[in-house]
Amino acid sequence: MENKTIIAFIDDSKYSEIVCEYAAWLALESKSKIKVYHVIDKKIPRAKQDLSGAINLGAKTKLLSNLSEVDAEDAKKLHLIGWSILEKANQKIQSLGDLEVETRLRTGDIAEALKVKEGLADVVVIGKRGEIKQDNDSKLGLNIERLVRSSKKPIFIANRKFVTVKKVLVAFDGSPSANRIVDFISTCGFFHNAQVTLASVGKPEKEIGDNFSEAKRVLNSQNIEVSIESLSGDPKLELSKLAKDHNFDLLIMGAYGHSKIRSYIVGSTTTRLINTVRLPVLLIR
Amino acid sequence: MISFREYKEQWTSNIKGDVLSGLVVALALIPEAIAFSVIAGVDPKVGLFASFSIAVLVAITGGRPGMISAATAATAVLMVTLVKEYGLQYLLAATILAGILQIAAGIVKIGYLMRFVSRSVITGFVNALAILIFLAQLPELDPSNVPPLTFFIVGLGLAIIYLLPYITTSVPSPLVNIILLTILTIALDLDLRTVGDMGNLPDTLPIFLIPDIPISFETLKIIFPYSVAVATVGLLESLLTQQIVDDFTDTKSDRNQECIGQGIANTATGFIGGMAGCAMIGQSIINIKSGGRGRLSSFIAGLFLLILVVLLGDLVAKVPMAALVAIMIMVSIGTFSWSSIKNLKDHPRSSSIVMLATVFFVIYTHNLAIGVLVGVLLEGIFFAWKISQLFEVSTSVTPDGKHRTYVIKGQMFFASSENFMQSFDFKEAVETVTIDLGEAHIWDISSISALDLAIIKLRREGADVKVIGLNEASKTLVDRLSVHDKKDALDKMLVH
Repeated sequence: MENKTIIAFIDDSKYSEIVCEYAAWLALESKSKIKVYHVIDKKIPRAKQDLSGAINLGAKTKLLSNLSEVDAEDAKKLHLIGWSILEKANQKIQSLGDLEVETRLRTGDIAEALKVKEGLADVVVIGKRGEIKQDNDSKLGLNIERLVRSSKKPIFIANRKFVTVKKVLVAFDGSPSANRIVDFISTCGFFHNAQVTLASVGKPEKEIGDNFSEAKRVLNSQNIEVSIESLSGDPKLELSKLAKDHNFDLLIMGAYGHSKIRSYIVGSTTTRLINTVRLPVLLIR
Repeated sequence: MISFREYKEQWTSNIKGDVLSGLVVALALIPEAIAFSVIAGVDPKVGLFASFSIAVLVAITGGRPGMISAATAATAVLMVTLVKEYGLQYLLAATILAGILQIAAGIVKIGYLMRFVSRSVITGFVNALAILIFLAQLPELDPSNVPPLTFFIVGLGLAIIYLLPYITTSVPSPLVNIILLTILTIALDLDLRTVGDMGNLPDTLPIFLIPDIPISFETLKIIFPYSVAVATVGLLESLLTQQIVDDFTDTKSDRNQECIGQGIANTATGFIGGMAGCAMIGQSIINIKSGGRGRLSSFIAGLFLLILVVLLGDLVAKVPMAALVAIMIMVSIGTFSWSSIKNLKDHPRSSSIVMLATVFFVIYTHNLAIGVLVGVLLEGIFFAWKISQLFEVSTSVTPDGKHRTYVIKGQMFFASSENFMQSFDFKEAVETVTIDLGEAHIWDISSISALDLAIIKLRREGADVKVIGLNEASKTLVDRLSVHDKKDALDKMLVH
């Protein structure tokens, strides 16, 4: 089988180190290589303020070269910062194991970078919050929902602290997307040392029983240990509670099944769950 | 389509820069709006309302943040005869129809056609536009119409505009030009033509109105040709300007969204009594130079323009035309591509011919669309001619002189058909002729009929004709080359 690739997106926030640790763990478990990306969010060029409003002969060429000079200067500085962030990440990952790491610096928008580069990835690792929002703990980083929505790959959202993943909680509802999650768990190679718990909330046992046993069969065939929980109540609350009470290390769930418009109005269950649960989350589209 | 978040960012990411540049740009919009209302033969009010509404609406609906749109030279010159023969109401109706056509063009994604407009045509377009703007100032510089003092005032205005930035770049020199020359005119009671002499200025906010025209097929027949021309020219200038602003800001933007935005703006503008417009190269350069990047810059420019002319209408009426002429001369000089003159002797002659032909036909017809069409056609012909050089026939005959082989290599299409026919010696009496097309590419029906004709002629002379490699050669004939399906297909096509 071809080697898998883990893509990690990092920035200057405190989450980046955790992202590296999780990426390293995933890579070690599945013998993957890691590609670390830092995306420089290019701001509006701060050209010299010229309010004269006058344009001479050759104004177009002159303006273009002025603007590109300023841009080039800024870009050089940002590159230096970017490479130092990446180098730090590289050292961190290397210290965690003998791993193949590539570092890449890009400019533009992180969602755009993800779209272009995720084709090569098996899992994308990002931090729960980014540079800008790092002090505001109750709100998700503004990028996450947008990133997840624009991506087709599983996205691993790192939490504030790294914990080796031993106990995995899976939000399971018997739907086709839940079956995709089970398939992913059985084939991804990350969880052969973990205990997996499939939990359904608010679905009668008999409705979902067959799905449970099928999922169990699939996972057992890969020597993954499985247990089952069937709960009633509000999915968000119950899953958070379960995760807390039983010391789970990771939550796996489907992501953003509903339309964007609906999530504007009622808010997205996915986003709320990522917010409430104090665990890293692996989202499967 | 962009997300709501990105859209919001296009408004709010550069507020200070956008507001300041918007104010500067508004001043550069006023003279153009007034000047081209005069050219189109309508009150300055029509151009000023249009500039307000187009700038504001394109800010909201357009595809290119930081670009400035308003009532322009390019579209105004197209509507002169319509106004002369049928009046203002028909101009408004034509504006609305042009807007609808532009929206349709955006929906069918006509923006992609821009790839066929080459760099030389763009340069020609820009230069022609600059010349048109300059020519439009000539009536205000006609010695039989205006007092000789005008020339002195225009010169003074130009001196202020160009020299003031050497002292300070924190005040717009066009504004200083307007203020100083107006004060001078009033103080010395100079006998100069003023904006007030040109017709009505707006004294109220624009109101919604439906053009007062008979809704009939006859009306449609009158306005349709004008609407098509206005829609085409408007989109051309907008998309070209968009390209320029993309280059300036090193960002990409949505061309089809821009078409739709321009269309919405023009449609709405017709309903508030304004004339059609489009993006403006000169003013967009001014905007970027003054630090404008976001949608807010165009919005502020439009809004400020309206406030200025409605509130200060009496003062605006006293502004001497000479001050505005000076600004327009600046815009025209700033729009002109100076490097294209220098490049004339370095660039391939075909590119220079395309550029000059575009300029010539625009100036001759006063229609930018015709100039661009001529430019694109010429470019296409030159390109076809160049590619037709990639064609070669080698031939050999067996020692007994009975079997002749023609090996055709290269591109077979309409432009190379003649060369193809000339490479056969039809009067040679041989037993068999083999035409080897294994290394040729047949691109169109012309080359097929040339091949047919050659075979028939050879047969008439008594030869048995055999064609080999036809399958390979005719792969290119299908309209859609699916080279992207197979990775090595392109290599094969270039090699075989």
